[in-house]
Amino acid sequence: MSDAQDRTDEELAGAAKRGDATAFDVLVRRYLRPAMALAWQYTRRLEDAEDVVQDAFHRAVRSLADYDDSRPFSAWFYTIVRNVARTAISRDGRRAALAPLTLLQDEPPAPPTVDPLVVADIERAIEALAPMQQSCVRLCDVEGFTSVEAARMLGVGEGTIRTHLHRARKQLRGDLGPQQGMLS
Amino acid sequence: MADIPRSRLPRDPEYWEKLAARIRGDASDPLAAYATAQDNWYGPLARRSPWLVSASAAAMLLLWLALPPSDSSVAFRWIENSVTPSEVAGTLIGGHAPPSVDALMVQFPPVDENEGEP
Repeated sequence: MSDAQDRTDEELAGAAKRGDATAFDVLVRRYLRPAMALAWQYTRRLEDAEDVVQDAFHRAVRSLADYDDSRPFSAWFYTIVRNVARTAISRDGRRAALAPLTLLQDEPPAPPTVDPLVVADIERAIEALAPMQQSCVRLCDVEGFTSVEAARMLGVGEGTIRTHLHRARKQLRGDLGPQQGMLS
Repeated sequence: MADIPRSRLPRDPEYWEKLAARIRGDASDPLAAYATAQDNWYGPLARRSPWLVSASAAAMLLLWLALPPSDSSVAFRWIENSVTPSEVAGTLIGGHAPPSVDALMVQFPPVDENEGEP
């Protein structure tokens, strides 16, 4: 297993294509959390995000024969996740922009030091951002992914992520006014 | 930004382990099929199939280009050369005024009713 963990994504995908379950397991461990974060951007419900990610991995493993391992695995896999997520939300008629109430219900408890009302205000301010800005803020500032990782996940250039992040943070500071001290 | 708002994703390692197990279980059949295909005699052939398909398509194209004209094209050329344009068609296509009905009628030579009698 430790040997498999040193291998690149593309090598692991090539091995999985030959039926190596250990290689696939390492890929699942590497991509599970980013895929969940990405799927959540679309579904806004944990259970739906799980279904999307499970379906995406299933499709990925079934399509491995078509995967060209000279190309980045991450871009290929995240495209599958995005497509599955889009299909899921269009099928359910659920839109991310309409989800703030659901979102608050799914939310784990806020840190005890922070007023829940402040958290809700920040949440509302994020919800008011344009969809791409929301995704950038959530992936980079909330989930802690780098702009490079977020760019791969969303299938755009790193510069695009940085631009959206800059605009989003500026708008959040403006919208939150007195609470902006909470933001770094 | 600080930790506010927090990630919506669970932090419990057990949650992630269960989800990973669910995905692994879901993928076990296709992975087993890949492994079986490796072991079968056609495994190496299947791996090379994209290359083989391209090569055979190129070979067929070259063969088609190198072939002499087919019988059907020879037959068409013979028909084309042997048919002379009819006068009636020339009148219809090239004439300034439409032809009369008489001109369109096929003119047969008069029949001699006594022909063949002793």
